[in-house]
Amino acid sequence: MRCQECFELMSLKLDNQLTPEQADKLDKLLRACPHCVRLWIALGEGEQILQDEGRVQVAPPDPDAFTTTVMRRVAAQNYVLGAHPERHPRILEAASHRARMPKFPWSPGAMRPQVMAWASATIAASLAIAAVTWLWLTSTLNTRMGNDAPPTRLALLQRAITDVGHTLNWQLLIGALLLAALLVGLWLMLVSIARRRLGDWEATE
Amino acid sequence: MTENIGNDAGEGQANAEAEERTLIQRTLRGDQSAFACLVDKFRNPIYNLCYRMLASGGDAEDAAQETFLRAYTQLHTYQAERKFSTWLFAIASHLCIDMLRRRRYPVQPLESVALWKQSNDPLPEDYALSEESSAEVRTLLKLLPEKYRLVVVLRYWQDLSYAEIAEATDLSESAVKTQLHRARRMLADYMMKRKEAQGHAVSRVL
Repeated sequence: MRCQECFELMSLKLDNQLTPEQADKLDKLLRACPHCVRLWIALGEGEQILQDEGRVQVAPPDPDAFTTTVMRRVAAQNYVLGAHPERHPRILEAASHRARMPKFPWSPGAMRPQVMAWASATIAASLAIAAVTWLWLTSTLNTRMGNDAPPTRLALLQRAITDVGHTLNWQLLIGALLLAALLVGLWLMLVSIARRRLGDWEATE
Repeated sequence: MTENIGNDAGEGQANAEAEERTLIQRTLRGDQSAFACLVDKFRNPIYNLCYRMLASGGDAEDAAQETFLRAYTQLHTYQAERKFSTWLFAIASHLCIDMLRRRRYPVQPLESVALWKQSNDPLPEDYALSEESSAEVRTLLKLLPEKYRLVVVLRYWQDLSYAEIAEATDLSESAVKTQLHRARRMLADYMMKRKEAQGHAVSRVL
């Protein structure tokens, strides 16, 4: 009981926060209790170690590299100060990891937006032309069937196509091809527009 | 450089704080080089805090870097009336405690440490800044639970006042005081136990 009180006074003394009355009291208690004296000595030793050791400041092994690494990570976050207060650093870190991953050279993300726009337009156009040609060939063939005139080279080609065509549902196939071409073209264009927007946003940072 | 060579420490501190404020403003306006200056300025105390808390150079480096990264992304939440260093200490403290909790050190019982360090202990007078005492203090800090360790490190290594420790740890000043007292008590108990063990060793030899 008294020892606890004694300890509290000792601790205050270590902080230089004893009033003169408390100092007197501590003095009296210490005189009366050898256990408290031992504790006081031990406290003093501990305090000495902490104060001596507290002067030893450890610095990063390579201070300049430390700053460089921090700044590289800061830059990798692509973080506009104040723009995304709701974003948590952990998420940003994950995002920066993703940004640093090597990209597959033919993936849409790795292409430049202009190249992608041209590529998508070309693919869409050629597919569309091919599809229309098929339609035209198969449809003119039907109107010329049963004609007695000697078959022209075109007619022969058309007949060859229809021979194959009889085994396949050409109309359906062409429809599907057209649709696919349209979708692919549209998707590539959308991505390219989005990428260009993103590029502008990055440039303004 | 300037004429007033004899300017007092208070004025120097005021200048330093004004410079800090300018750097923070510049960083907030998007100037990353200003933030690099802040990192240069505070990397040592922050690293030091992390090192004392985690007792490992690699972990300290990680924690210190994470501290600055968080400081950067949260800089808009920094209130200018607080001390910037205290704010950084608060971030670093949270991170270190987090890391320690994830690491979950098995708590070493006092007795085993006391017996392990029986011999070759320097006398208290020799506790200058020797390697021996560094190892000693690492042992001492590891004995303390995370919360106490943090308060001790902030008090003795960062030389913060109770009010500043309270701010950095989200505790009240009286709670800081209590934790510091308990930490000192634990250290004192450890010192006494060790001395007893030493005494036994000496009496066995005699």
